[in-house]
Formats: sequence, structure tokens, C-alpha cells
Amino acid sequence: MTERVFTVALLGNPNCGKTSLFNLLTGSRQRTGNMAGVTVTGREGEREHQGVTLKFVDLPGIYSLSHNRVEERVARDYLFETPPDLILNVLDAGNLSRNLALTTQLLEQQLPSVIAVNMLDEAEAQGIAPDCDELGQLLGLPVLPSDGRRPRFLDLLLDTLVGQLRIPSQQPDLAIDYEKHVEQSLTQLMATGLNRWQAVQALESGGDVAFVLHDDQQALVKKQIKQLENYHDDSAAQLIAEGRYGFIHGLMHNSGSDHEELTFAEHWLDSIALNRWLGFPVFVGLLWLMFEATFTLGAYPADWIDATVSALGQWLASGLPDGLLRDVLVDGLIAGVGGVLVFLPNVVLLFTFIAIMEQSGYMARAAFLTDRLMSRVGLHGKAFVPLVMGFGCNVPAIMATRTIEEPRARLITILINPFMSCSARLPVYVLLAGVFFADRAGTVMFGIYILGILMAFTVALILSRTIPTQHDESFIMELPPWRFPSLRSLCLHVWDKAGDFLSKIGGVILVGSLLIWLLQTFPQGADQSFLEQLGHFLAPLFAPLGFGWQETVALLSGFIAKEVIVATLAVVYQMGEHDMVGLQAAMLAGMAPAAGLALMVFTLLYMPCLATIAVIRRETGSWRWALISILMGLVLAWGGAFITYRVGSLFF
Amino acid sequence: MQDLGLLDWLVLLAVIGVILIWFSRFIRRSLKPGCSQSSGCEGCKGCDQPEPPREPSSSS
Repeated sequence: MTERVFTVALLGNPNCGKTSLFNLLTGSRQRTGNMAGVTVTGREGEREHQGVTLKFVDLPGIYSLSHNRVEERVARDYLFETPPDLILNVLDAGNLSRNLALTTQLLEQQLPSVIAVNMLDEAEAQGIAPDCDELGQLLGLPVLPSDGRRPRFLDLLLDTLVGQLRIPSQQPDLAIDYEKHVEQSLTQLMATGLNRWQAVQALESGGDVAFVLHDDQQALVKKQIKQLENYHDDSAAQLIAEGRYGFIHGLMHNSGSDHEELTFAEHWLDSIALNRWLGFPVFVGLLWLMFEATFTLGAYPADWIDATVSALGQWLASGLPDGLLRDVLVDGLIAGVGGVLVFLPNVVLLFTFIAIMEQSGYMARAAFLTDRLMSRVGLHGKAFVPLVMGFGCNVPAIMATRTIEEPRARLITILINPFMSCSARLPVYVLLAGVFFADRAGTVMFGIYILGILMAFTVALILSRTIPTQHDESFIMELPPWRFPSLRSLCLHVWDKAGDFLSKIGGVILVGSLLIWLLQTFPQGADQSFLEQLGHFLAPLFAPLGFGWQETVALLSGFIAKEVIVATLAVVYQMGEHDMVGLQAAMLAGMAPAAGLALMVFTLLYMPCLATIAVIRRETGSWRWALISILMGLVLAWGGAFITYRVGSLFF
Repeated sequence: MQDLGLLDWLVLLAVIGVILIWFSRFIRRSLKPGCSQSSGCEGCKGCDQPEPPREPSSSS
């Protein structure tokens, strides 16, 4: 006596051996059935196994659930309107990556699936047979070998199908990390009530989907697609496909089956970028080159901006009568804001290089290289993206840790993120490296960034030993295809970052400069200004690091935002001089090179800015971790700067 | 305060006003409870970030 009838739908790409397998599974007990509402036919057949009746439905061979060919609509509508109890997703072992694109769609929809890898013998003959066990572990699904021509794997397949139908295993929740603008569009669509997979499918298919989209959702889909096309040279469907194939490439690399469909150039680039011995030196070399170029190339436009700011300061100084108005404009705004504005070219250059590495696909390879090291220090593979984002700004980077589900890994990523040198700290490094180490400024900056990364990993290692883990979270790193960065996308990306920097100059840096000027100017007629009094009061704390009162107040002001450190140094050191040369000369006279290096280390490590502290509190849900972050930063910064100053004094 | 003319006083008050207004806004915006890991995406005005994962509620 059978328990009940279960429906199993066979789904796969055309020519993947699906029909052969269907014939083997059903024998001669098959009939032709019409799919609802369309003329394309599928076939149905039954088989009993372990007391269960399995009704197999052979769906048309398709490549995607989001395209609009008739057979794809048939399969899509069938799965949506009459969902089967289980999907038997048949893959061609010889064209695995193309076949897995459909699998990712099934997994995104969390459709209950079992995967059968067909034509294994042919793949084995070519030496490209995947490891089914490894693939199954990475995907979180049963992945079985199958052979449509011979019944050698049939019992195993039927046993697995029946086992899954009786006691379904939990479906993996696959959320591919798409390109960030695609993710933003998905977030907008999900805010209208769509599931993630519905939002993905709506974008991919241009709104032609099996489920109902309201008029406002349709309008939003069209708007988002247009926005994506304006932002990139590719369509939304292409961007999503890139995300899928990036995931598949990573999956296949992890399962040791990534030796197909690569051009010679791609293979050559991968062989270097992912090479166990060569990859890391190449990565470090590229980082050094990036910082060297950021400093060297950025110096030319920085000089032009400096000359313009200096001329403006001199013009105002000579044109305005004595008084507070002249003082605030020249010694406050021009010195402070102008002092930071000159570093705009460096920020633009750094982000251009980072964007090139991201868009070319190199950054994803770098993530692969560091993955093993990251897992050793208790970091999750998903931490790489938030950590790289930290080079821009720690606030969105910490929010991006939401993709990490395991609480310990997420907390560690949040707490170490401030050690990734955000762009606000770049002007401080460029200024100090230029003043004290002009001949090797790029190398010094590179060293500071590397120190931040090493400190982050060390702290992660310590935290991972002290905070208990709750559960493991599987992760498949994505390897997007190599490609030339799109000039349009590159320009828009860099323009975004430059816009952020300029808006901070017009906000926090401008107001910070005014505050520093106010404290520096008053009380009038006294021996020491409020700022000097404050600096002298706290200076003993920083004296062992080689800092004077000027550096002390600069570091205090950096609590608001790290760029304000430069603005403060510009205001307190520039007495009568209003250009970088004057500032550099004043700093060189007032500080030892070892103290300059120690100041860079302190700026790198000390407590995060106010906005970052606020976001740490919000994301961890408690002030405790925000406080720990502040204290940890201060202690490490003081210790690091002390060692740097003492050791540096022996050499410089 | 010695030898400050009317224009100086106006400049001084304007500078203090700008600083006070800007910093009060800055601190309020930084510390205001928005969407977060603990509160979820309710009331979010769009931070472009995915919804935070929730820990499964424990059943006793």
C-alpha cells in the first residue's frame, strides 16, 4: 500500500540529459500532459519506490526562470501555480557553470530541490567532473551523480528523493551579493512588499513575472531598471547574471571544478591572482603601487588647489580691514577648509584605484587570497566586503556587516572595522608623510594601511578566542569574470566619493575649523588661548609620544571627524602663512619625524569618530561595545604611538 | 572682550550660532535611534543596506 502520491518536477537546461533520466525513472509508464494554459507540452510518468508513488513531470528544458521564451514561461508558471513537492534539478556535468545559473534561481526561491549531476562519464573523460559531495556541502543540498543511459545511480537517486519527500531537509537561503547598485534597487523593491527573489526576478525579467506586480511596483521596477542602465553600461539582467556567475565561479573554485569556459587571458590572470605563492606578493605590490601613485600623482593637482587657496587667502587678508571678519575668513575658514581641500586629488585617486580593482574583478580574487587567513583569525568570508568598504567610510561599512548572520563573526567585524583606515584619515597621512618623509611618502602611507590591517586581524584573533561562537554559516565567495572597468561607471563611482568628501568639507570640516578658530582666538589679550590652555592641560598625557599641545588638540578635534585633525593643525600651526609650504615648514620646526610617524599611528588606531561610535552602538544594540571600541582604540593607539616614537627616534 | 566693534560682535555671535546649531543637529542625527540590528528596518527611511538578520526566537 502506498502512502501518497508526490510530484517531482525534472528541471534543467536543454540537452542536459533530463529526458533520458526521466525515461529511466518512469520506464514506459509515461503519458503526455498539457501544461496549464499553453500549447507547449511536458510529460508525466509514475513510479513506486519504498511504498511511495512518485509522479515525475518532465518540464521543458530552460536556461532561466526570468526570460520570456515560451518554454521558460511554461516552467515558471508551472512552478508558481502548481508547485511540485520536489524539484529534481538535472545538471550537465560538462557545462556545470551554465547549468548552475538555473540552480541559483531555484535556490533563491527556496524551492525544495535535489540536484542530479548527469553525464558524469563524459565529464570524467575530459577531466572536468565535479566533486558532488563537495558541491552538495557548499550548496547545502543533496547533490547526486546520475546517468540517464544506465541505471547505475538510480537506486541512490530514488532513495534520496523519497527521503527528501518524507523528511525534507532545510532549504538553504541563498542570497547572492549582487553589485551594490543592484542591491540598492532590490532594497527599494523589497520595501514595497516583494520577497528578495521576486525583486531579483522582476528586475531580471523587466517586470514580466508569474506573480502579480501592482502598478506602483511595476513603475518602480521600470524606474530601477532605467537607473541601473544609466549607471552602468549593462542592463539590469546582465548585472544580475554577472552576480550569478560570480557566485557560480566562486562555488566551482571552492569545489575544485573551475577548469572550464575560461579564455586564455582569464585563465592566465587567475593563475597569477589566485596563485598560492605568487598571489599575495602581487596583491601587496599592487597596494604599494596604489599608495605611491596616490601620493605622487596627487601632488600635482594638490599644488594647484593649494596655490588657488593661498591666493584667495592673501587676497582676503589684504582686501579686508582688521577685525574678526578677516580673521575668521582667513585664519579660520581658508586655513582650515582650504587645508583639507588640497587633499581632494589624493582621495579621488585612491578611490579610482580601488574602483578599478573592484570593477576589474581583482578585488574578489584578493578576497580569495585572504579568505584562509581571515578564517584563521575568526573572521567570516563575508567580512571582506565590509572591511574593504571601511577604507571609504566606517559608517556604511559597519552597516554592511548585516550580511553576516553569525553573531560573533558580525561583532568582531564591527569592532575591527575602525582599524581599516577610512578616507577621512588619508589627508592626515598625506600631510604628515609629505612633511616628514617626503622621499618615501607612498611607502610610509602603505605601511600605515598595512599596520591597520594587521592590527585588525590581531584584534579579531584575540576577540575570536574570547567571544563564544553560536553557529557556523556557510559562505561561497564569488569570482566575477575579469573585465575592463566601464569608464562611465568608474567616473560615477569616483564622483560619488568626491561628492562625499566635498560635502564633509562643507559641513563638519567647515564647522570644526570655525570652532578651532574660536578657541584659538579667545580670550583676546590673554597669554594663552582657550585652545592652548586645553592643549597644555592634556599635553602631559601625550608628551611621551612626542606630541605638543598642537597635536593634542588636533587629536581631540578628530573625535568629531578625522579630517578635522588636518584642519586643526592648519589653524594652529599657520600663523601668518596660508599655504601648504608654510604649514609644512611650521610643522617640521615643531615636531620630530618620529613624532610625526607616531601621530600617524595614533590617528590610525585611536577611537572612531562620533558617527562611527553611534553606528557601533546602533548595530550592536548596546553602549557596552561602543565603549569597548573607544577604550580599545585609545589603549592601542597610545601604546602603538609610544613604541613608534621610541623606536623611530633611534632612526630618524 | 576688548576692542570689539559691532561688526566683530556680529561675526562672533554668527560663528557661535553656526557652531551650536550645527553640532546640536550633528549629535542629534548621530545618536537618534534609527533602524538597526536590534530594532530591524521598521521606520527606515532607506539606508540602502539589507535588512539585518534576526536571531531565531528561542522556544522554551
